[in-house]
Amino acid sequence: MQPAVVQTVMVLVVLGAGAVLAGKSGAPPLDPREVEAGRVVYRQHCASCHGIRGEGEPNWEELNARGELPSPPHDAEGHTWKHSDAMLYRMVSEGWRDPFNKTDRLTMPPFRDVLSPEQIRDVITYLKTLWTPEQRQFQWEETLVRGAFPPQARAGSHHQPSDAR
Amino acid sequence: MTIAKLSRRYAAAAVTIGLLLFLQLGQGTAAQAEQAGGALAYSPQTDALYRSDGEVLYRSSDAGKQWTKVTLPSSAGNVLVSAIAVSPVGQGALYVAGRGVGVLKSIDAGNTWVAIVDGLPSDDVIALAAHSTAPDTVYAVLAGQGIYRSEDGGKSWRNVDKGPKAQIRQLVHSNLEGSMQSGWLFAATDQGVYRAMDCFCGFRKAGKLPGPVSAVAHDPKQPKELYASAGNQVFATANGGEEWEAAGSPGGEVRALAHTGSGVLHALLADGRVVRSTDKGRRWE
Ligand code: HEC
Repeated sequence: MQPAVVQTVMVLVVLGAGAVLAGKSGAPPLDPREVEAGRVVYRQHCASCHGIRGEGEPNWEELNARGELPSPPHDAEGHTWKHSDAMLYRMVSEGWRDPFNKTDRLTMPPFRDVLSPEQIRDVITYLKTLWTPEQRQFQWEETLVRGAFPPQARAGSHHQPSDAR
Repeated sequence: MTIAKLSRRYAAAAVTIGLLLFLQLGQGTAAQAEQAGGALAYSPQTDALYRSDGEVLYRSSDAGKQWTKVTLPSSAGNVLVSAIAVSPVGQGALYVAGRGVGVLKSIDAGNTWVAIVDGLPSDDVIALAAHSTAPDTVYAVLAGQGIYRSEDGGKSWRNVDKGPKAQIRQLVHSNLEGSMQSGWLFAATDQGVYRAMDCFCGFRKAGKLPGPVSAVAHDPKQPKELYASAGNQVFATANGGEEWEAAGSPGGEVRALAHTGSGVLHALLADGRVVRSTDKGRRWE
């Protein structure tokens, strides 16, 4: 077989296994339009800190020289997948800092005046493509227990930035 | 393949397996010796203390003067109690864990018990923690398996984290504010105290206590105030574990700590005594 064909087959097998796992787990499939829109938002507004592939900053688990936690990864190595949709939305909209940081500024900036509610939803949907099927499942169950996106960010709604408050 | 060759292979495999088993067992006993006996918990609902020397569970309703044995159901005969936790809210569920029992729950102060092990991969439970405000949430640390959480009073469990890099000896849930979710976890480990929000987005070292810490407890009324023990010494922090100061020594090696939330810190010592301090761990009686 040609290497390209082998590669394609392998990718298909991996995707297939992932789909089976995700299917079994019950996490609903991601809307490809949200994923694409989210990828654009991510590249423009998030990648500079969280890395182009969502890999985070080096040594992200320890406080840096300023006494602040660096930008964590959003991929399978990070812990973004541990939060419900409601919590992820809140952190992107309102910003966040670790309460034990040595400074008071919001190291994770608030995006409520920059992105619309749909864009915040889309970028979070995009982050979900970076997780393993098991992580997707975990995050889906957390969302069921601890809350979904707010109404203004659900599918079908159209808002302006600052409506994300 | 000849019989001789086969049996040589078989012998080689058997030796390897034997060696692995030996190493495993060796590790097991070392870990056990390190965590040698001791658990203590306080129930604010009934003002009772529970303690264990690693084998038997005892209860005291007069602040530790007299102790009565609490009988645990055991199928395997030999029961080893490794951890005790009491929910400070709701019915005040009492949880007890250890080899031979898995995790047991009682809502009548230890008269009757139910085993709650659905979804737990082993009964090798190192530590237990009850959530400080959610009555049905409880955490279990399993040797080599990480941290499990139940949010339905133990009916079901799920793995939520692999835990800190260090070895956990005791775990407490704290209502300290500022968490992304609903509180924090503090872990006494062989390398100081570790802290994580209860979304389990990262255990980090809380302050600079060096070396092995045997126990950690928090004051539920002043959650920024915590206590930790190393050897004979108790340490205190007033800022959520950022800085620790030596408080006092209860007069023996501390195995476990429990705070009542009404000004009393209890310590279980290696000789089985339970002593108390009413001035933040400085003087002990
Ligand atoms: C200026 C740098 C910066 C930018 C730009 C930025 N972030 Fe962050 N982000 C951070 C930092 C730093 C943290 C960690 C804060 C902490 O925990 O103290 C963080 C944390 C987060 C978290 C929490 C992760 C977790 O599991 O705790 C999420 C989610 C997040 N960012 C999403 C985004 C998204 C989506 C974007 C783009 C819309 C974005 N960030 C843009 C710096 C940034």
